[in-house]
Amino acid sequence: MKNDQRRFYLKAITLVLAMIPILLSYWLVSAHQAHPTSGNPRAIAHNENQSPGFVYNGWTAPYTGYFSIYEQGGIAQIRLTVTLTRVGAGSGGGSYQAVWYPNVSSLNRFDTPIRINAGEIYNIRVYEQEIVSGHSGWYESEGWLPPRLINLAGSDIECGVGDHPFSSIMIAMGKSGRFLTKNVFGTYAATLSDMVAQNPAIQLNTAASFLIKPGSVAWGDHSLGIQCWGDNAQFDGDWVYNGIAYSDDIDFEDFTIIWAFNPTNVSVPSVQVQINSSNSDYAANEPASYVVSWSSSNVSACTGAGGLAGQTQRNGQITINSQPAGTYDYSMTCSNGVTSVSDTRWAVIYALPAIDVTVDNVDNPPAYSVPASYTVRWVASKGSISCSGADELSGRNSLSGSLPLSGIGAGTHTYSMTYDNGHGAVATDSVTVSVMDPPLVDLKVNNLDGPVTLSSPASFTLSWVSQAATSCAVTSAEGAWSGNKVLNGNQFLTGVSTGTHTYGLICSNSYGSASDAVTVLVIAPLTGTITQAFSSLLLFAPNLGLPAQSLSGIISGGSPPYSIQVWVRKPSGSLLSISRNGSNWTVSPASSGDLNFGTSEAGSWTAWADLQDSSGQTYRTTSVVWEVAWYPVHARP
Amino acid sequence: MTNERKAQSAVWGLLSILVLVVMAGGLVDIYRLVAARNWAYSVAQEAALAGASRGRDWIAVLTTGLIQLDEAVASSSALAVVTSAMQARGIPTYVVSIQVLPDPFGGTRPGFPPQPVRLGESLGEWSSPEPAVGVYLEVPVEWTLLDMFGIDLKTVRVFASAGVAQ
Repeated sequence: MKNDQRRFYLKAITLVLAMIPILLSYWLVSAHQAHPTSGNPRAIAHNENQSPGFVYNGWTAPYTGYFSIYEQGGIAQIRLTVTLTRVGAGSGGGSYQAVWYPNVSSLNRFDTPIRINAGEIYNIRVYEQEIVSGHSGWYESEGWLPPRLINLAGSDIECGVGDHPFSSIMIAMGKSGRFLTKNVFGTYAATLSDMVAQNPAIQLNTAASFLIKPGSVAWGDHSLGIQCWGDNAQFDGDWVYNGIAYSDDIDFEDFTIIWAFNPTNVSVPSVQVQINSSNSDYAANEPASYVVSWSSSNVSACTGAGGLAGQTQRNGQITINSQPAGTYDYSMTCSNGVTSVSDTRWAVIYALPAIDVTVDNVDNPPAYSVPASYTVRWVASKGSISCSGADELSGRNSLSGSLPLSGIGAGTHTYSMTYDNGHGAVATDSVTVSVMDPPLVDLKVNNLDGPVTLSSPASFTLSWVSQAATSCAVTSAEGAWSGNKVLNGNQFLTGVSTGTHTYGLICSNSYGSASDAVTVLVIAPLTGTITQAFSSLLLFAPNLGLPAQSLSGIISGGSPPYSIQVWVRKPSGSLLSISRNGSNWTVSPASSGDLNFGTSEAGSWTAWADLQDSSGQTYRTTSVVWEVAWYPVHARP
Repeated sequence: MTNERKAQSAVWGLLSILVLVVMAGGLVDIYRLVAARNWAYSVAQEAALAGASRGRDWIAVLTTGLIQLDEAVASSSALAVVTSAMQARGIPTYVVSIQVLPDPFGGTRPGFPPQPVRLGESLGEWSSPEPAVGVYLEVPVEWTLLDMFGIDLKTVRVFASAGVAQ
């Protein structure tokens, strides 16, 4: 047992000793990869904000000249916005913005037309911007620091942060190494040489005085005339600690800017766009016509944009005719190969006010009758910004509205609305509604609207009532129905013959007229006949091969359709009823269902028919009689 | 005397027998005459009824409302009855005369029947107030004994008529 225990403890100790170097190596690698030596995971702060950029307040110009900037480094384009605000009296200063396309392998000088007069004091503001891949517009995408060490005698102007584990950490993370420090003395020397070469008034020993810098230079001084620019991690995002991406980075190799000025005249490129010979933006109501012109100097090429797209002349003009509402930009960008300048004028064309006033959704409503009900609507469009109602819309001032009206009396009603676009253009619309009070008339026959069917000779009463009428007259004269009539009345007509008679009446006033008519259908009186086929028949004649009785009738007059009730009285006194219809009717043995019709009893048979037409008239025909007999044979004495 | 008387009695007896025989034969012939007349009358009556019945003109009723007789049909129908009866009795010789009054209100047929047929009836003025058929029939009757006494052949004459009630 003791030997087993010893072997167990020996194995445990061996395992622990093997784990120690593994854990130690992991700790060493992770510590150097993730932790900056300062203990602060953030890189050293430097200016990476868009504002205020390069700031130098209270700079006194030592000489007279023009503001210039020197740059050297690997940047393809840069836009600088330079503003020198003069403090106190004087005439210098100004603002200038240009886009430059530097030569990435040599020193570049960016001249500006900003005048600097010796002794005048200026507050300097400069913003640097670039086009960054993946982002639209211009960004101040670089961070910058002044040199941390200047030893001109030792030909050393050190940009950057010096000794910092940042680069090694990034390399350990698999990223590219950083330029933590960079000697830009060469750029400094080249700047001075260029100033001497370009300006005879500048000597090499005085050239440094043309640099814009304070009397003392210190670490972190934003006013230093030399700035070392590098990546702004806002767009890198590769400095990660414990899984968190930080926005700081340190990489000062990009370019160097030296703020300076030039004592000689400069030939900076310029371009100016004008509308109607004015440097101000243009505003007018549609349809607008205007002239856009542009002129440039010290440029080699121009390219238009917006409304000047396609224009490449360095000077020119275009005429815009009948321009509709909208906002139009006219931009021209010109370049001398290094410096690109542009100018833009805006033309704001205001829409004319438009207003549509309708009544029941139509511009020309029909005439209404009292009491009228309709809805007035108005709606403004386009550039209308204010309105004023007039006539019967007086007091209304909304851009759109709906006004339901009812009980409107007779007359002419006008609804007007005036709109303006706030820029001198006015539009008015109005709708006129005629509300009329036409007369009404109601003509009846026997207090019915008809048509009425009567038997001839017919007698009936025409009666009429009118409203708001001033006169009434017969329109369909017939017989005694003619001429002018009183506004309300009645007339009795008698002896009207057979036919269709229409009686019309029209009543009028100043707004119009109304008419009514009734129709009277006068028909012949209902009458009819009944006829038997045989006046004498043999008892059960069909048994002898002889015919039984047949009845028929004809109806005239009245108003079809007709209904017929045929009555047959047998000799025994019993009654037989048969229904028929139509103006010609028959009752035969076959149709009656009795093959011995009219012969089944000896004696006198009687038949008649009751007739009725659709108007309710009734008529009973005369009776027909036939004898049914059997003729016996007897011996005579 | 007695013999004479006996002879006279025999004669008288014989004569009485003869008289009785003649009387019996006369009675038989009279009976035959009466029977023949009755038979002939019944034949005439049947023929008249048949003619009136079958001769009714129904079409006339439909057209005029009055019954009348179709003269041809009525005559032929009556004649057919007579002929049939005569053939049944084996009477080859007989006289028949059929007249028809077809009009709705009958009429008069002068000279008909041609011979007196009944007591009290005048000769030949047959009339009827309605359509009628008249049948006159003469049938010969043979005697049983009377022909031995030289009495000629006896003939039975009968007349019957039938009408249609209007």
